[in-house]
Amino acid sequence: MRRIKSLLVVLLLLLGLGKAQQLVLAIPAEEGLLTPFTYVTGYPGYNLLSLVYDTVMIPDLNGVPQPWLAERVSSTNGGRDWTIRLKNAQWHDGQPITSADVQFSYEYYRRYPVVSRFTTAVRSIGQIRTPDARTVQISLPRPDANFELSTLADVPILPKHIWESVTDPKAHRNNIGSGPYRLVEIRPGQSYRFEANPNYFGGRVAPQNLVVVIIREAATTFQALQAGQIAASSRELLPELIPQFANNPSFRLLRGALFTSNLLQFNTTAAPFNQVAFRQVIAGLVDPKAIVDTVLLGQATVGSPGFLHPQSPLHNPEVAGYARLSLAQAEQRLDQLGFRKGPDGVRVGQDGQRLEFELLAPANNPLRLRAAELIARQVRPAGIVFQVRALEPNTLTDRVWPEFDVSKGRNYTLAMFGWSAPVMNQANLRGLFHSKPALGNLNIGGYANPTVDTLTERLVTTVDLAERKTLAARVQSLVARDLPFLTLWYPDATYAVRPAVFDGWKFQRGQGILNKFSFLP
Amino acid sequence: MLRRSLPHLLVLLLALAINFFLPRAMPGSPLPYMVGEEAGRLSPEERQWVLAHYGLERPLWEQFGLYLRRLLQGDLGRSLQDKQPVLQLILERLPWTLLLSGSALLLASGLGLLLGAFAARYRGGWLDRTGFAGAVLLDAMPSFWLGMLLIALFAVQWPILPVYGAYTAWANLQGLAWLLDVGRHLILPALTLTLSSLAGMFLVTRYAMLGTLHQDYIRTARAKGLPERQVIFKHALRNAALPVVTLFMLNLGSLVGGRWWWRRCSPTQGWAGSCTRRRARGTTLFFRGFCSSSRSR
Repeated sequence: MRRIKSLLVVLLLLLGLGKAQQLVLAIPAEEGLLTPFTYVTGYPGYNLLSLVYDTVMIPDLNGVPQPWLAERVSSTNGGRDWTIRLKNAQWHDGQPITSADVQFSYEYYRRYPVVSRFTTAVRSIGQIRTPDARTVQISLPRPDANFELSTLADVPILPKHIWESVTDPKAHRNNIGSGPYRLVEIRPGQSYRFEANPNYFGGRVAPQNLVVVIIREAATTFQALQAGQIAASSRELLPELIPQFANNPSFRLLRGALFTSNLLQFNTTAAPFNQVAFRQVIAGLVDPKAIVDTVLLGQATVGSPGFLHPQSPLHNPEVAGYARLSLAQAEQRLDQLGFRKGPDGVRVGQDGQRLEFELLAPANNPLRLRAAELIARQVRPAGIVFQVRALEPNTLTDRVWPEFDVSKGRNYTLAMFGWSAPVMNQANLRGLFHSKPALGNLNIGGYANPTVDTLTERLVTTVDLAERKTLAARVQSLVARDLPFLTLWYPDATYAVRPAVFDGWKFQRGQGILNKFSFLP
Repeated sequence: MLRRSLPHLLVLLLALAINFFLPRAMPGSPLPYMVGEEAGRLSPEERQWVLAHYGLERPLWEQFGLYLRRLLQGDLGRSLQDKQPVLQLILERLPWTLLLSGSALLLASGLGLLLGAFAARYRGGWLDRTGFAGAVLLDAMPSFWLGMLLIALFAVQWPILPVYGAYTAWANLQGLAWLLDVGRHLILPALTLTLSSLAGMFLVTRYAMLGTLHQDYIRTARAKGLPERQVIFKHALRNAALPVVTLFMLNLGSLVGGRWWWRRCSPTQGWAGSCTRRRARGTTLFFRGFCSSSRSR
């Protein structure tokens, strides 16, 4: 009887039926065992992890942190003391989630710092107290404006009753969490299977079964989507495929902004890029819109000179676009700066320095490589030569950011670089622009401006949103004037989904469609 | 015995040394492989701690010694990316790789042998001419392109075969039903690999047979009145098989290590697929993980 049933299932599969009964989603790679210690960091590993585990807060669809496992979160004493009141929620095994779980989780991540991505997120925590089963009180030694976003809304809470006896977190395979889905099966190299959590505090979870399959090749992913063998993919559509899917009534396209950034990074400690006026000439010659239109076929947002994405809550709308220069204006300014055209058309400074520089670009990123070539072409008529050099990404990072420590200096003049979404999400302007390496840990160009230092220091300790906006706006204005780098573009993401199978998708700003909200009412 | 084994051991040691030292000679920090995007946010003390945790602060010769010792114990360490034991990752994927490559190798060898023998026997006939042209065409065709073409035809245009997966991910099949399901998923990748390897096997067999069919003992066999089938398969093919067997054994060697490119777009993503994924992420992490994660944690 069992054999007959199995054969019937195979027959159904052969006939292509039964596919619509569950949501099959494709991801491009394996994402580990999906515990907070074994998932593969970044996208979409964290997104899958967040289907199984919850955080105290969650960035809403606009990226603003809202209470999630918490009923409410309040802060006093200038952002030093935080009180969290938990909802009445359960773990997947039916045990209640208590304040002891929250305390345990934050302390546990601190106890095993080298094996967790969440080390830095819990670093700012001082003391944790649990006056009752649903209240957590956290004291910070210093106010931390990003505490909500970078800690409460990012660090997954672990069930204490399961993890307290675990001494090797990387070897632990128990996936009991509190999220909308329970991970029921991992088939190595093939798929992950999830089942809806029937007691989820966030509402009824749909669909009941979620199958996440691994398809490594982009072209194969989109062929599977076209063939109806998957209903969606965590992979964004390639720009050239967008019209094809847009014209097919079986698909719905979801578009939105991603918060990764693509920059033309200057070494502001090396002449002539140590002169603001020279950097301004380069900014006037480079046309980010032409890059977006040509290289990205328009599927990106043109960069803001203040770094922050126009959809970022702290974006300063007054900082809009780089001041373009005509060729004549640029040449006049270069003449004023003492750079005269030589016999071969390349400008030479008064000290004999030719305006000929190496522009490093990652060999594995055709978009940045192509953009670098376009930039070289845009500045050439003014007598400036950028020689594009493609480097293996590790080598490039080592030249630009040796040992990930800005105090180690830098070994480049120009580079195509970029930051991942968390830098934008958390508006980490101090990290990007502060001149002291201990604070400006992402300031790879060696930019220094005392006013920016002061403002960004205040920014990280200011909890009030209105005041933060004012401070961030001033930083963006100064950065747009000083130009430690040129923000060229932020990619836009377009996803194709089959609404006939599942149509609950929601685009989370900066994150895409693979998020908790897509599966909740 | 020892004298005979010594060169082999030296070659193995050299290969291991290259495997170990090459990634370390590459520029760049190993930190991102260990802590991911957090690398840039760690304090100098935390960075040192991470390196110490993985034993990377020790002198290179000491790390190499530890690496060799653990290899001898069968401990390949833990993948930095997947956080799972490397040996387990290999063993989980190896059967699928063997199934795909093995079935393609057997099919290509069998078909190549048969077609090559007939093409040689009927030299200049339609089978020979068609087979030769087809072999040249298949040999010139990039295999990944052939794979994509087959997917486009038999999975998208006429949706009768699956685009991806070694089996249906959501179906809990067992026994014969499971075998049928795996077989259905195997068709496209095995067909692609078979067609890619067929040309070589066909041409080698054909040329070897052409040389053999003019030998005196073949003429004698025919003069004795043996049936043509017996002449071809018993006398000629058996003696022409040496270069064919050599080619088969060479292909057998690449059964596990080769076919990386195919598995990237292949339904049956095996062990090699695991390797390419890390390469696709801009690093040779598997390679690196294999040799640098000598600390089993």
